Amino acid sequence: MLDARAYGRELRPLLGQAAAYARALLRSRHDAEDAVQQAALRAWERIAQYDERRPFKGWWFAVLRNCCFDLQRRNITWKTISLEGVALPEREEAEAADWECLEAGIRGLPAAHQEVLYLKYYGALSYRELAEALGIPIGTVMSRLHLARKALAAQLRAETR
Amino acid sequence: MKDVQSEELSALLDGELDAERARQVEMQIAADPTLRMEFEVLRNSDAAWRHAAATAMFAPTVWLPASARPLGQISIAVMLAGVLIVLRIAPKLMGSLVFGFGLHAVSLSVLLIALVWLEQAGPTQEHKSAN
Repeated sequence: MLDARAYGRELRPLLGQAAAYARALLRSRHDAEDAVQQAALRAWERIAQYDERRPFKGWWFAVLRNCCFDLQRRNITWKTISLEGVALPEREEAEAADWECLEAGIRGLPAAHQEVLYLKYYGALSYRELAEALGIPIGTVMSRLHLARKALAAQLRAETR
Repeated sequence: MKDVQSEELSALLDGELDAERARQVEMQIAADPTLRMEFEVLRNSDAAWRHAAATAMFAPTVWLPASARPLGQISIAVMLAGVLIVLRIAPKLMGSLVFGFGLHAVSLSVLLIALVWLEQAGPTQEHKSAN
């Protein structure tokens, strides 16, 4: 089992990519920071469940992914309760960055395709790590990622016409 | 040579093919205009995504388990220094004073060990990502 020092050592290089992944999913820098923080602590609480023969990054991103989903659910609930009838801006961040423009292109894709693209590009996960994070075989990762890329490329081409 | 499967184009982009298979796929891409066009479309989309992902990165402030920090070693060093100082002073003192200082040295050591243990077990530490 990883001790705290080893956990910190493994985690540090992942934080920038984790922040990007969470930011793309949650569309908010503030929520992304919350999600990464929650994942850092939640994964540490569950470190006994981590099998060191498997890729740490994939395991940790699976925890982060769940934290992002929890935050998304919480945000939806809060908005429903406290702001009925009030139109909120789509994003917190004032400036539309490159990633936001491009990210708009994948919203029309099936959820499974979006998920694999987010993890691949923002998280920079390898196929083995993707398989670990999504709980699917590597062969499925390979075909799903390829189909997602083709669908995205087709969609972007259609939009530019 | 085995024909290129469509998803192998993605795997080539991602560096996920072994060297021999990557070489074979590259040769077939070079020889087949349809395959080459498909690969170019994927490569352009991939480049745009990689660039986009890089712009979304930022350095989050994250609290990590406390024992991941070097302060644990500092505490141990302080504890050892405290014990050494007390042991150095103690022989210069007489009778019950020596015993008293010895007792204090033991108490101090126990206290510092407890502090180190609490620090190791403690919840968090602020950490700023280098990215």
